[in-house]
This record gives sequence, C-alpha cells and structure tokens, in this order.
Amino acid sequence: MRPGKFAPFIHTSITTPYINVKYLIALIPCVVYAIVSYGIRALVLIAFSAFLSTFFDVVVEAIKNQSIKTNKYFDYASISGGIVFALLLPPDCSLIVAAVGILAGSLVFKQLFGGAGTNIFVIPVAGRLLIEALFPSQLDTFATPGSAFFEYRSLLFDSNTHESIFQVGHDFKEYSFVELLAGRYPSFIGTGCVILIIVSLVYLIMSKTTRITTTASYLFFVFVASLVVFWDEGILYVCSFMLISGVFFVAVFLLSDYTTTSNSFYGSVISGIVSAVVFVLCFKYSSSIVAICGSVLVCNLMSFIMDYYKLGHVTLVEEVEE
Amino acid sequence: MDRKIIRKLSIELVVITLISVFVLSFFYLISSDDSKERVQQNYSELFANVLEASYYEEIEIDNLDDYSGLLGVYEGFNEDGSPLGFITDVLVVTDNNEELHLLTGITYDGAELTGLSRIHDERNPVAISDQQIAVIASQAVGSQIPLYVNHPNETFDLDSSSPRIPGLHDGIFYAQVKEPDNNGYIDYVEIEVTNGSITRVQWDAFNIERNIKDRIDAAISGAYVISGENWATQSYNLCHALINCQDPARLAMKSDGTTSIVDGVTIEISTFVQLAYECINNSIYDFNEEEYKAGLASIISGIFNSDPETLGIYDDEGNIVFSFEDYPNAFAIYDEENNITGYTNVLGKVRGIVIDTENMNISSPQTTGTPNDSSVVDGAEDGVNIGDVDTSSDNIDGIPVAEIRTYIDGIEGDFVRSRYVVTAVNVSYRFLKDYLNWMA
Amino acid sequence: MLFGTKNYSFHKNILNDNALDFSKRSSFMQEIMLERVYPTRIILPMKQHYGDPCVPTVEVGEHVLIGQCIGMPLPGTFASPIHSGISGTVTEIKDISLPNGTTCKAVYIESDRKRTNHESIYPRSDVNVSGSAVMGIVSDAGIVGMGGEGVPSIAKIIRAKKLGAKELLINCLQSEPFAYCDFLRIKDSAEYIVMGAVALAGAMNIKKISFLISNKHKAEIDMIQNAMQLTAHRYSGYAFNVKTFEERYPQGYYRMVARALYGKEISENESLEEACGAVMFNCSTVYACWEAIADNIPLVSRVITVTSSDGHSHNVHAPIGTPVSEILNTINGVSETNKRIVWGNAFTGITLTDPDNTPIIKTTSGISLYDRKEVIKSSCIHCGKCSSNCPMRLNPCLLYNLIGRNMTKEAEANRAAMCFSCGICTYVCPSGVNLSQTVAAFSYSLRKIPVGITTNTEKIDIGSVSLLETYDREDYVDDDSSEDSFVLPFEGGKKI
Repeated sequence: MRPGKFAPFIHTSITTPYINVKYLIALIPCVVYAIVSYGIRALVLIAFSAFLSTFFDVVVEAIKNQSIKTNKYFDYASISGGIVFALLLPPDCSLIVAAVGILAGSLVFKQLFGGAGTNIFVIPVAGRLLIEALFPSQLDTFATPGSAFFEYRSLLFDSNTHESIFQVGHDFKEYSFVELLAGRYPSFIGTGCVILIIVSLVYLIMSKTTRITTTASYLFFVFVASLVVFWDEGILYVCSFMLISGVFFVAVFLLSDYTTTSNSFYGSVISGIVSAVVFVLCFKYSSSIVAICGSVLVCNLMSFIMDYYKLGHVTLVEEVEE
Repeated sequence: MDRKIIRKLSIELVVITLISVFVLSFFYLISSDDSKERVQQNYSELFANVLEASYYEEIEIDNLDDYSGLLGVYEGFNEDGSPLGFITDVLVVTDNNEELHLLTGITYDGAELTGLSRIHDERNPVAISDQQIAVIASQAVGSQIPLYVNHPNETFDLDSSSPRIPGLHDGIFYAQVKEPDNNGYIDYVEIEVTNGSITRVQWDAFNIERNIKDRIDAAISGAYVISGENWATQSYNLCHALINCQDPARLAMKSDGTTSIVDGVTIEISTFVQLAYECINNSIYDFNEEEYKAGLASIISGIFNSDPETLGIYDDEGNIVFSFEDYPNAFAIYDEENNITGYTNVLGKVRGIVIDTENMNISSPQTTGTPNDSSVVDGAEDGVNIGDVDTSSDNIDGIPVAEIRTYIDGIEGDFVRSRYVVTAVNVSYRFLKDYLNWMA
Repeated sequence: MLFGTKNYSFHKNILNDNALDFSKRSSFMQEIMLERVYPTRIILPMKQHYGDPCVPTVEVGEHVLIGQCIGMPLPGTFASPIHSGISGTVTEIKDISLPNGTTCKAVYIESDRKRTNHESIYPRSDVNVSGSAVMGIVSDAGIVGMGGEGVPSIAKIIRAKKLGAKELLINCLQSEPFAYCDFLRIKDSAEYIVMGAVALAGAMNIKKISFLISNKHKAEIDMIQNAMQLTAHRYSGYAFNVKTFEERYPQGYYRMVARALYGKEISENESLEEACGAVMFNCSTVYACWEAIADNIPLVSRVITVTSSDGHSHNVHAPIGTPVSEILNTINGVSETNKRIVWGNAFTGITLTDPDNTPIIKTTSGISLYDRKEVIKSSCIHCGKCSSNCPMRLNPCLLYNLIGRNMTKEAEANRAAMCFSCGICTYVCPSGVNLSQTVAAFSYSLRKIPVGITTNTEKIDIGSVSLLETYDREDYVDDDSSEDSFVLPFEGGKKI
C-alpha cells in the first residue's frame, strides 16, 4: 500500500444534497401549477407534507442515532418526498389524511429498508397507496382547477362537502388538447400539467442529476401498452390518456430516482416495460392512483431484483477514514 | 455546498419559478376560449332543462357552507346579458345517508321555480325515479317558492284548541288597508282578544264611495258577486278558521294567495292574512281599535294640516274613508338626512316603533319566533338533512311556515321522498332570499 | 468533411454528460508566463523512472556541472541515467522515500549559483543524425515518459521498432484539471516537438506522424499545424496530421487513445504497438528528445504546473530534483498554509508531508495545493455514476464492496486489475465514497512487475561525463532475449 492520501483532490459539485436540491427545484413547476390551480389548500398541503416529512425523518434519525457520522448534512430528500406525496393528493384532501400517509411513509416504509438512502421503494408513493386503501372515500374528489382559490376548509374536514357537479364522472374527451396539456382538468394537485412536467424534465436533464433510461422506457411502453389496451378508443384517446393519466409525473419524478431505479440499461428498460403494463392495466381496471402507485412500486421491485442479480446484494462497507 | 453553488441554485429556483408561471399563463391564455366553450357546453347540457339561458356563470359564494347541501349556484343570462334566473346545485342527504343530487332553476327575483332535475351521481341514491321527479316538477314548476308538501295525515285541526300566539293583549284590535282595491273597497279586519285568545274576527270592507254598501252587505244583497261561495260566507268561514287556529300562518296560504285547507274558502286571502297579522301585532303592542283609528286620523290630518272633522274622512259608521294612493310617503320612515329608509304602519307611526311592514309575520318574535336555522337544518356530513316534518313546528327547512308559498301534492302516497325534493328547493330559496338581499 | 472535423473520443455514451471536460479549468492559466526556478539545492533520487534504480556516479564533496551524469544504470538492469540540473557540490548521498512509495538513494547537490553547463552541452551543428544516433541520445540523455509513467523512452523505441509500428502518436491530450505544462511546451516550442517527432519516427522507421490534441485547444492546434508546415518540406517522406479529440479526462491514457482512434480494446496482455501498430510519446518527452538531439543536453529540467485552490496557478521551469518547498517559495501568492500539498495533479497526485525534502522528478508534471475540506459523505444512492464514467468500464461500486468484504477472487473476476487509478469514480461519486483509493490499491497489488532487483548500490566511477559525448549506439540491436528486457507498467508483463 502506497503512503499518503490519494487522488482525486477535487470532487464534483454534484453531491447527494446537490442532487436532492436539484430534484426539489425540479418540483417547483408542479408546485406552481398546484397553487395556481387549487389555491391555498394546495399550498398548505404541500407545505404541511414537506414539513411533516422532514420532521418525522429528523426525529427517526435522532432516535436511531445512525446518521452518517462525518459531514452530516441535511437530507433534502425528506422535503422533496413530502412534496411529491402532496402533489399526488386530490386538492380537497384533509390534513389528517395527509399526515397519516406521511407518518406511515417515514416511520414504516422508510425504516423497513434501513432508512435514508437504502430504500428500494419510493416512500411517498408507498404512503400514498396506504392512505388510498385506508380512506378511499376521502380521496376521490377532484375539484376543478381554478375554482375556489381561497377554499381551505377541506383541509380540516372531509372533502366531500364541496363535491361539484363538474368534478365527478368527468370525461376527458370533452377537453381540448391544449387544456389537457395545461392541466385544466380535475386531477391530483401536481400531476395535471404535462407542459410543466416537461419543463422539469428538461431541467433535470440539463442538471445532469437524473437517470432517464427508466423514464424513457416507461413513457414509451405506456404509450405502446395503451395503444393495445385502448385500441378500440382510437389514437386520440390514447394521446389524451397519456396526458391526463399522470404518466408523465410518474416517469419524470418517480422513475428517475437514482436509489430506486435500476442503474443498468437493460434493468431500466425491463422494469420500465413491466411497470408500464401494470400502469395501463391498473388504470383500466382500477383507479388512476392505484395505477400510478402500483406501477412505481412494481418498477422499484423490478429494479431491485435486476440489480440484485447484477451486483449481488452487497451493501456499502463502512469507509475507513485516514 | 459552497456559497457559489447556493447562489447558482437560488437563481435556478427563481428562473424555473418564473418560467413555470409564464408557461402556465401562456397555456391558460391560449386554452381559455376552449375552456369557456367547454364549460358553457357543460352548463347548457346540465342546466337547459331547469333554466333556459344563452349562457351561465357560476356565482362565487363565500359562505356556501351556511346553506348546508348547497354545492354551487349559477346564474343564467340571455343573449343581451340580462339575468334570467338562478340554478342551484343541491345535495340532499337523508337520515339513512341516502343522497339526492338536484338542480333547481329559479327566476331572477327568487320567487318562482323554473325547473327541477336530478344529477345521477349519488353514491347512495335515494330511491326516486326520474318519473317521480317529473311529477313533482309538474306540480312545482311555475309556482312560487318556498314549497311544502300536503301531508296525507296532516290536518290542521281548526276545531281543536290550537296553540295561542303568546303576548296578546285583550281588547278589540283593528287594521285597514291603505289603498282601496279595484272596486274601491277598503278592506279591514277587526279581532277581539279575550284572555290572550282570539275570540272574534271580522273581515269586511267599506267603499271609498260612501253610498256603496259594505262588501258583506253587498254580497248578501247580491250586489257583490264572486265565483264559489258568497263572499260573506267565505269571509265568515275564514274568520272562523282563524279563531280556531289562532295564527294566520296556519291558514296555509298558497303562493297564489288562496288556501286549500279552509273549507268553503276559495277567495284570495292574502289581504286578510296581512290585516290579521297587523291586528295581532297591534294586540301585542296593546294598540286597540280606538287608538288605531285616532292615530290614522291624525296621520291624515298631518297630511292636510287640518283636523279630521273638517276633512270629513269619517263615514256614518265611523270608518275612516281615505285612500293613501296619492300619498305614498305617508308611512315612510326617514333617517337623519331625510332619506326614506322604509315604511311602517299606523302603530309604528303613532308609537314611533320601527316595524317592518313587509315581513309583519316575522317581525313579532313573540308571535312566531325567529327560526333558528341551525337548529333545523343541521350541518350534516354531506348535503342538507331533512328538517322536521312536523307541521306544528314553526318553520320548514329553516323557513317560517308563513313564508311557504305553495303546497304541492308531491309523489302520490310518498310524502317522505317528496319532502326530500321540496327541501332541495327550499334550501335554494333560503339562499337566494339572502343573496338577493345582499345584492339589493 | 460534411459535418466538420471529426473529433475522436473514447467515450461513446451519448447519455452521459461532459462532467470530465476540465478544459475550462485550465484556460485561466494560458496567459501566465513561464517562470524559472533556480534552486539552492536539488535532490536527485536514483529512481525517477519505471524500472530499476540507478547507482550514483558521484560522491559527497564532488563538484558537478549542469548536465553531468550523477546516476547510472547498472549493467543488466533496466533504468535510465540521471543528470544534474544545477552546478554545485554533492553534499549528501542517502536514502529517500518519495510520496509514491519509492525508496532509493538520492544525491543531494548544493548549488554554487554559477549555473555552469557541462562541456558536452553545445548546440549540435548537424542535426541530421542517424536512427541509431537518436536512440543513443535518447537513452543517454535519460529521457523517460514525462506524461506520468516514466518508462524510459528508449524502451518504447526499441519495442516499436521490433513490432513494426506504423504510426507515431504524439500525445498532447493533457486532460487533468489545472494541468497545463504540455500545452505550454507546445506554445513555447511547437517546432521542437515536430522535429523531435520526426527524429523519433526516423529512429523507428515510421512514416506516419499524428499529433493527438483536444479540440478545445485551438491555439495549440494552430501552433502544431504551423510547425508542421514549416517542417514538412524538409521531411517529405513523412505524413503529418493532427487528430482532434473531444475533451474528456483521461483521454491521454493509451487504452483510451486506442479505443478512440482505432476502436480497439487493449487487453491486459497487449501493448498499443501490438494491438494498433502505433507507438505513443508524450509531447513533453518528444520535446526533451529534440532538445537532447539539438542541444546535446540531457533531461535535467522540466515544466511543471503549480496550482493552488485559492486561484494562483503558475507554470514553472525547474531543474529536476528541485525541492517542492523551493518551488512554492519562488512563486508569489501561493501559500501552503492549511493546505494539502499534492505531488502531482488533481486526479493522479499523492499528498506529501515533507516539501523540503521531496523533490520534483522527471515524471512530476505538477504541484498542487488543495484546501483540507472533506467531501460530503452519505450512503451510496446507487446512482451508477462511477460505473458509467469509468473509462475502463469497471463497476467501482461493486469492486469496492467486494474488496471491502475480502472477496478478492470475485474482484479479480470483475477486472479489478484493469483499474489504473484515474480517480474518476471517487470524483463523480455524489455520496463521497472513496472508491478509487480502495480499488486502485487492490489493482496495484495484483500487477506483478518482474523487474530486476538491483543489489549493487555502490558508486560507479565513470568520471565527469554527461554520457552524451558519444551517442551513436549501434549496439541497439533487436534482441528479445537480451538481459535488459523489461516490462512496461500496466501492459501485462509484455517483454520488450
């Protein structure tokens, strides 16, 4: 062994906190859309979820006392996790329901696999699926974007009070292509505007802090699978489906994560294909949120399995400081 | 992360926020026409059968929750932009958590129902068919609101001892209209209160032309003929009914001013009801007939700056024969800057009491009691709960019984479900009444 | 060409970024003038090259001149002679440990401040020397690969000649951040480099000469082309060309050049000459060759880049053996306070702790000063950046874990030996895991380097000579079984 500290003596500025902050900034367009479309309640839901997610993570880390011993840094992933969770909520979701999802995500799902950085699943998605299972009736109301900007009471009570005649049973065929692009239809608070999600994607690609293989594979194969499944409806229906189903949100924000997607090309492509098929089938036979969460979790699982066989199940050994 | 990177990230944060706002604004701008067209298309499909209009707009209501069950209110306009009426979106929730989602169309003055239709999106729908809704619509559309359903087992037991209006003073109390009807008759009602109960009621009219007989006499003599029973008989029946029920509100006057619950009475009873309320009010304030007439005479004297005898306003029977037709401000209430703020009646003018003559029936809290909305329309989980259907209660769906304008038969043999529909209409009425007051 | 000049690159993955293009980091040094260092003393380790150490040819108290040979290979060993870069008196001869782990004897010379050249140093009147003369000069001038490996240049020449290499590649692909000494040589003496290339090509019977340079260094490209035009008419038998490359570290490594230029992956047991029929010299080495041919001066000095993280960067010309402290003291504005002094550059250097007694040697291209700040460390996020950026297409994360768990066989099976310590994996790791140190150390341990062991370290008495008094060495006859066969580093024990 040669003496002395070895090179390199410089380090890329793209560190884990930097990647997390970039991801956080990439979420801003969806946050802007959420606030513009759904007003104060969206803002409160996002801020509340981000705060609570961070708070729980800090508390859990403090209790476990297993955080990285050197160069401890603030984990921005907790904030972005909270925001992603909020963006997947319907606008009239109450705070208590949101809190249950975040609590379950931070305390159960995240710790199940060893805490920060070692998860195989996207935590906010797991939390979101759980509250969908627990409170289905409180999460099926979709307000019209641009209405009731100052509405806030739904945050405190069951959201069904303000269900409007135009918010249920809507048919996206009524909407023009530009409206669908701009997210002017009832949706989850952050998944609606494809244009802004593409802005985020461009930002992430330019930032070089994302892995787009799974994203590209997933988008392509969702399109192919929807062509097959919705063949009778026609190509316009399929295009509209691509815009309104939340598939872009999933691809850009939930399947570009370094930790939970495969880092091999073939692993990314195959997990993208499987999750795309799951998405389309769940959308057809279940609900959009089940499709979103189910496909992401399946992709995570596929990625884990494929990387497991590629790398073997090895965890990082403790680094020895000089 | 060093300061340089933090600065870079901060700039990126600002830039991407601005880009997002710009992109979103741009796409909202270019899609606004599509959006408006689609919204109008949706509105038309949903609203056309309750209120035909060229276009519709949603009304932003801050306190929508005060009207439990009311999900939204829309306004319809014609091509010129003139308002035609309102559409309300109401979700009625029953005690069994069944839901009835209805749209009601109401005229712009908030008085008349223009249409009624059901939205089939309830999670646990009330078992009412579209045909049954159509039956109710056929009975209610075109009628004045609020509504109520004739209960098959509900009889106003006019002969039984009915609850008395509290606070009545004993004595003879009197009220007359300020302007004659088309035939020149000045209606008056006289009631006698003994031991707090109305024991005698008389409804008659004298003519502005002093040589013409009073209406009862004219009717008896055949000079005043109406369809149905003789007017004198009908007047007697009505007065008797009031003695029995003790409260004009319980005479169940319909929107067209008639009643269907007093046998032998087909005439319009609105004038009687109004005058009866005034008499009751006078009794509450112990303002007897003599004082009333003296007060009325002094008001007239004030107009002409002369004493009543000189003016010759009394007829042979001591009635004050005078029309205020040409003196509309005789009962006006003025503020400090001499602006008219409202109108009162003889009692108000004489005693200096502010009395809302337009809502005489609810102005006397001792008489009917101001309904406590929240006690009746309970803020339920979803929609509005059905209020107490006991007709002896003071209000229906948060509306005083006296305010009910139309009684419908509803679905044959199904009072309860008919009641759900009526509730939806009444919630809409209650909202529009307040809304129009705010707008006034 | 329809779409402009073709730029070669070893990195073909379009999805990856340009994170390893450090050309912008070097650009700020281009205007900085070359400074000369005149040290008060020099320390000349007897092993500054790949192979065996030399044996001192001087003794304490002896006066030496600039260019005088002070270290000589023992017969039967693979080494390159060492010369003094200053005139002065030998004060000490003792063992020294260099930061790279080399332990050998070193000759300490105190300067007499006179800078007296050895009498053999003179501009040669006729530079049309024969191929064997070139080989003799290169050998006796003690020229070794100045790009970092330190392989005696004569060894490369012999091997290329033996294997019949058809193309001479002049490596101007210096791609480490802040490293600029090669480009300074091009700017300063492009013609010397071209001439040196011709001389080497002549010695190896090669007719095709290619200059490899990054497309980001347009000024240097122009200078080489101008020098080529000036020279070409005199050497009509040679085909000159400039091949431009995409800027990306470590494009200059011979395996990367082979991949970019010839599309070939050089296996563990192959050489560039065998696989691609080409031989490659660093441009500074070529310059040194021509300097030896034209001025008859051995390799006694070199240009090094001195970089400080506080923004001061200098290119200095210093005698080989100058202590690092003297270089740092010479340069205004460079402070070593609270800084880590690195013997080398950002990606390939090693920290040193005793700058007063650590000299620069023939392969030292830079001295760097870096802040002692630590990289933010966190759990591995499985980003895969280490493997996607590894020029050898290894999986450093996997190797790191295998080595950490003592699964050495699995690590070997995953080509750990191919790691050449470029440091990219550690540089790009967002979680700050020091992959390079672990993997490179393991890789280093795997390479069996069958060089001879020098036992005789006593003085060889050759008198006060530079070795360049006579240079035509007809004894350089191809002989695969000769005693001085040696193995180049990183080339799998291929004998020359």
